[in-house]
Amino acid sequence: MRTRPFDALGWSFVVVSDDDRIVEYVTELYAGLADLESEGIVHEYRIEESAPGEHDLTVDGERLGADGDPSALVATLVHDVNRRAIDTTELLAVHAGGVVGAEGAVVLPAHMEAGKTTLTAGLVRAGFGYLTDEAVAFDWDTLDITAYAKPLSIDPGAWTLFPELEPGAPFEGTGYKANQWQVPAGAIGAAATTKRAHARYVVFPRYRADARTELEPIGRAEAVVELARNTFHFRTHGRRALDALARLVPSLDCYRMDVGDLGTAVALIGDLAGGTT
Amino acid sequence: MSAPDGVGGEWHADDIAERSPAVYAVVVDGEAVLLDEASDRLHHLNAPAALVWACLDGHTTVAALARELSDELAEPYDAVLVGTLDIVSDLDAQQLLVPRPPKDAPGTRVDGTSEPAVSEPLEPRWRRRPDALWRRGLDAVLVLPVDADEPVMLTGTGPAVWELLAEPCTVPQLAAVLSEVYDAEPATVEADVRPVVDELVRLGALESP
Repeated sequence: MRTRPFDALGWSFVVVSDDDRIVEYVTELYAGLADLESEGIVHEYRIEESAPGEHDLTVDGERLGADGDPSALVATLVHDVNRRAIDTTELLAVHAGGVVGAEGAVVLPAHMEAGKTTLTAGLVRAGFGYLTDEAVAFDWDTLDITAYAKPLSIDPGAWTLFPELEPGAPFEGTGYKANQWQVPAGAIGAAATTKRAHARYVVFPRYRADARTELEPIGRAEAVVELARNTFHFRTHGRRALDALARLVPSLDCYRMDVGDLGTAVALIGDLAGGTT
Repeated sequence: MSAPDGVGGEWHADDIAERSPAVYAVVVDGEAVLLDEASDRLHHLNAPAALVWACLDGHTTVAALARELSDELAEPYDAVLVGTLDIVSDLDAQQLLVPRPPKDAPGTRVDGTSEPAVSEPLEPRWRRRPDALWRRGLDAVLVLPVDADEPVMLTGTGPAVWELLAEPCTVPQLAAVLSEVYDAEPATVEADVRPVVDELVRLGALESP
């Protein structure tokens, strides 16, 4: 059994498995990803039993991992798709969460562990449209955002904030949710995933336990620096990326935000960006 | 023209400054963002510094530039000169200018201070906090920050990162050293190192000197 072909920022793939539950689970996780827009190479992930009680994950024949619990390999698959999508995309990809409110897209750039996914999930739960929790991808010319609606990868530290999102798939093992929850945006029950959007706000979040949660306006030149720091492969793109970011920011309102409380952060961005789509 | 040796020396009114060709700039709302392609570093210039930067053509003396800006801005020449010299010195200290030739004559000394117009390198430098306890194991380092309840174990590249953080350095500098050691792309190494440093900062094991 196999999934439909998915398109992740140009990385096209299908997932094949001898376990129908894996295919159904992956299909649900990637329901928000676009169909293929053009013919080309479609990479093939396989999760199959390689020996009694042992399962392999491969992509185009290359072994990526093995586990006794095949569901545990789904997390590896999600991370591999993510890495290859970012490494191969022809778009300008910024390490950021992204949601869409009534007044346009809100881009949330930050390094790992800054709380991007948590804030993105909170905003989607509040009714914002979902773009991504990992890579906001801009067209180099129009600067329009192409959605990368991967499943939200929620770390254990945020599980208590979203108890209703604990995955419940019909596997014998719990490997698929042991270290990180993979949650399709549809499961959060919010607005339909947005395919394209134009950025209107950029907010640089930083999780700080017990910090007062507040938005602080910053200048656009400072925002360019921060966006550049969060741009994937910035060193490779160099001047081209800096030019694109300098063209992007004049249409943005730019803020930093210390996040000590998720509910307050969601409310502040809701007031800023006009709430739901 | 007079010019002291090397980068970072004192600047005088009759010196001539020139933008480094390795630096690419964009202007946003009157401020500038510079990409130094020689060092892969970004710099943020405030509006006055961006204005001076745009005028450093390699032909005009600092005094002539200050005179031009003084007329343009309707500000006293002496104050503008002091500010311009500070900006040029800052740019030079960040290695954003063409290196000056050896000094061949004394120049005019200008005293005075003002707020730095060129930001410090935006990449922070970090070093181990001296009060962080740590112990080296076979292939790991155990770190106990002073305010932490539990130690954190550094594995993989973590011990090497901790070793290097005996001296203040930025994440790109760490990545540059480790990429040599591990024969890997600096960008790849940096992607591995940055979360380690971020976590150590969060835990209070590092300080910014």
